[in-house]
Amino acid sequence: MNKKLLVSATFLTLILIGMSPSLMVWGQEPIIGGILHTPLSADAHALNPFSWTTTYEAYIIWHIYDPLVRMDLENQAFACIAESWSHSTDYSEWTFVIKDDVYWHDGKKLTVDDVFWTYNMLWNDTNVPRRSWLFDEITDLQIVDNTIVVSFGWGPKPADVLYDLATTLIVPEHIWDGIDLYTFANDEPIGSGPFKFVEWERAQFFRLETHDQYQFPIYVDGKTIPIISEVEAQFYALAGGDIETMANPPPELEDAAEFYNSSVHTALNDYWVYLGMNQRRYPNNVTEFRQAVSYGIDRDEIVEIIKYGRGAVMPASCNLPWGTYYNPSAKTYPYNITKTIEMLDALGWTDTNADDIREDGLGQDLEFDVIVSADAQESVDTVKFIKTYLEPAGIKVNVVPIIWDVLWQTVGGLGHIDQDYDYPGKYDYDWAVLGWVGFWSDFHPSSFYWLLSADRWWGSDDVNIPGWNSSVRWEVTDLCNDTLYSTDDAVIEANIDLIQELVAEDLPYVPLQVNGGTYLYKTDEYKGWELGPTDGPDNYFTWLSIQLIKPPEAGPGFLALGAIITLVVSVAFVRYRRRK
Amino acid sequence: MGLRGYIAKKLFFAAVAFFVAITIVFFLYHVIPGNPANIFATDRTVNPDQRDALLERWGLNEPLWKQYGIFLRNLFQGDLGFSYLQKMPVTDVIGESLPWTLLLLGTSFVLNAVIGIFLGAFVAWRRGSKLDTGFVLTYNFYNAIPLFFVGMLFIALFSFYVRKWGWGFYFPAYGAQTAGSSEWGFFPRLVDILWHLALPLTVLTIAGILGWSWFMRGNLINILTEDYIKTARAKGLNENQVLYKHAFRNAILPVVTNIGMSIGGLIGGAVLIETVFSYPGTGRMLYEALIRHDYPLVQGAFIIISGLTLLGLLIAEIIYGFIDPRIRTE
Repeated sequence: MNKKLLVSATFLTLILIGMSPSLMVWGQEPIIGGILHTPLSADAHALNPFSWTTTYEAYIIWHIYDPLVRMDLENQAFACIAESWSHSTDYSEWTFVIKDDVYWHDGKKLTVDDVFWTYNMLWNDTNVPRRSWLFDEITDLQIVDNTIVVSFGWGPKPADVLYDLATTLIVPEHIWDGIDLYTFANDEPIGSGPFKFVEWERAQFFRLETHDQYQFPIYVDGKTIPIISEVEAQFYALAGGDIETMANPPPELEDAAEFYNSSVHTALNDYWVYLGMNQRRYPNNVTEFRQAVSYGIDRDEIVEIIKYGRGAVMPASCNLPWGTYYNPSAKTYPYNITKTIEMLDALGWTDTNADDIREDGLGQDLEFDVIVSADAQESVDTVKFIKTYLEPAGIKVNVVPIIWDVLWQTVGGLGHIDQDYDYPGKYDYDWAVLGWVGFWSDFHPSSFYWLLSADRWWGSDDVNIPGWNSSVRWEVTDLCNDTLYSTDDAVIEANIDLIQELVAEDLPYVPLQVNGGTYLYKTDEYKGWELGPTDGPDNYFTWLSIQLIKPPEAGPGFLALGAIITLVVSVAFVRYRRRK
Repeated sequence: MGLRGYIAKKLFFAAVAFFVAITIVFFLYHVIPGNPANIFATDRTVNPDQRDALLERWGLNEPLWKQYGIFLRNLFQGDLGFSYLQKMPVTDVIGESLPWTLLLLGTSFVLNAVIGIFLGAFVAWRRGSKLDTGFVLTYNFYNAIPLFFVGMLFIALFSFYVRKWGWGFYFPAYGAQTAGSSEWGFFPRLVDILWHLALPLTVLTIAGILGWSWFMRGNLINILTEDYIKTARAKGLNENQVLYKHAFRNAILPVVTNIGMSIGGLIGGAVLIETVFSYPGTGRMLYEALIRHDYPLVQGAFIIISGLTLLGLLIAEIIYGFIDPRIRTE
């Protein structure tokens, strides 16, 4: 009896061990298929393409939905749902031909009616949060055969239309028609994108499978996107073979990546950090003073030490330092504390009372509180560095970390509270460290219009975070408007070059650094990673090309553990029975 | 006062405390700077007008007293509100994370309380022995290391290095279940959930057991110096009777209070541990809701936490009444 039990237990153990995928795959040939595991560090809230709130949501949504046009790794237009596009000679009428072989994940065919429905809905509802500003400029929208014709009151340039409007995600009319756009969680989304939604366990993972009717071939079976909060845990998961990519590992672990069959890719992000000197206050409104401060900050060191070398110095021109519209001849402010001292001396601002702090033209100490988000340790460290840099020049800096919401309210980012445009505490600060994201200044001619034009939100009198109000501001505003409405490439380029020179000289913002990202990706299981200068390895073009080079090794190891436990318990039971 | 009157009095005070707590939470959270639309800050594509429109849609441009009235009316109708960011009823959002927290913290709580109380009594009874010294050292050592660091160490050791060293098994570095395990059937899924539970539960439970033991040990050591313990011994009672009948019952009273208070804390979750192990509990959910000003979600969670804390305290006080009749009469 006992012998039989022992034999049965051993047999069961062998079956369980045999079932363990980690052991089953031994000896098999490399296959195409597999599930790609790419982590997120926080969960999404809702998968609504028109009201997503974080990049985590956007990341998932862009797996599931497609726009007419995507941007490729070099920021060129890539035809997605649109087969082709054309425009009238004055750019005021744009025609998009819709592909005939695009299907929704529920098997229905995507038609031009879906595109029209999406565009029409966004055209008519001005309050939708995720909506291109160009919808406000549309004067007519029509379907002509399998094309959609968009008319504007003026001629927006290709960059405006292709990157801002045509990247609008298209949703199926048969699902979205009649729903409340603002409360729709869309937690079982149906899109036409490369991956089909399967499962979302909140705060745990997303499961996606390849859209079998997708317009381009995809070689993996699907993706699992686990939510792993801590980068250290992500690294151990990567090294252990549970995931295939991760972003921004701790520097000491990044160096160890190669030991775990991982490669490193670095990219720069469209996210730059600046020192905002509140120009509503003297002496911040003195251009020479802002220039002197700018010379006194060692940005190279900030990038090297605080950012671990991830990123680059942001030019004073407020234009990302690469791409079509970057003007390298605009003024720069390489670190030169001697020059800072000379400029302050030239202004006549000296230390008259021997307290190691200079006094400005009104006799007040050059002492400034710098507000910075307490959540962003790197920004707090940056301010500490700035404090040290400026001390020898007789400028005293006080580091004031505060919570993000207070910071944003103080610098005027809210615009107004309850229609009160002069709410208490608005603009009550000396200097602030903040960042801007997603202005596309590397390739988009309208970037300055969005950021600096007095006619647009962020540069308008309602917001105008740095309080820029010199005569140069109006010159730049005119140039921005001229650029927006111009269709002559030469004029556009000349305008943007001039804007950069004016901005670099007048310094509405004192840019510090462009943030960069470091990405690890496993090279022992998959091939076909597509890498771009501003993209990590987990991007749309990787999804279209990535292939397994060998079967996955990681499996549910608990099966082997279960087998061992079963054996131990069985043996113990047999021994107990024998003793009894 | 009879037991019924005692309970009625406690219920009344608990109801008042609950009302005050939720009122404070409502007003405090609404008057601090920021709002849910701030999540779109620094994003050039969402302009201030669009953010205003969202606030209007969410009813956040109404006067605060009016918002409070709506909040109370909904609350009495059993409606905790609708999460702005998750676009789901608050009860559903909490309902998704609560089972995981209860599994992790509830299991840990029971283990901590039961093992901790008896271990504390055990070492207190042997005060000054090698065992007691070892316990004190272990407690101080474990407490000197931040819990998240212990968690990370466990991940490195039992998720990564065991694989690197070629051991036959490992524990997952993250999550509460394997993606796709919902299709595996009941038993394999249960094993998978327990497999994921092992590391965070171990880290939490070691800390919890040591904490509760330390508390119990301190109480018991104090009690053991009381005159009535000497009297009990003088009466000729054996050591077990002295320990369990006299010392233990008195030492456990503050522990019961702490247990009652900790019940509400279960919902608050163990934010650090849940974060380190990427465990999908209410702690992480609440933390995120707090920093993103998802008012209904935060209020809903606090209502449940306040309610359960008060309920726990009420139960503790009623148990007090049973354990020690003097409290009732006082």
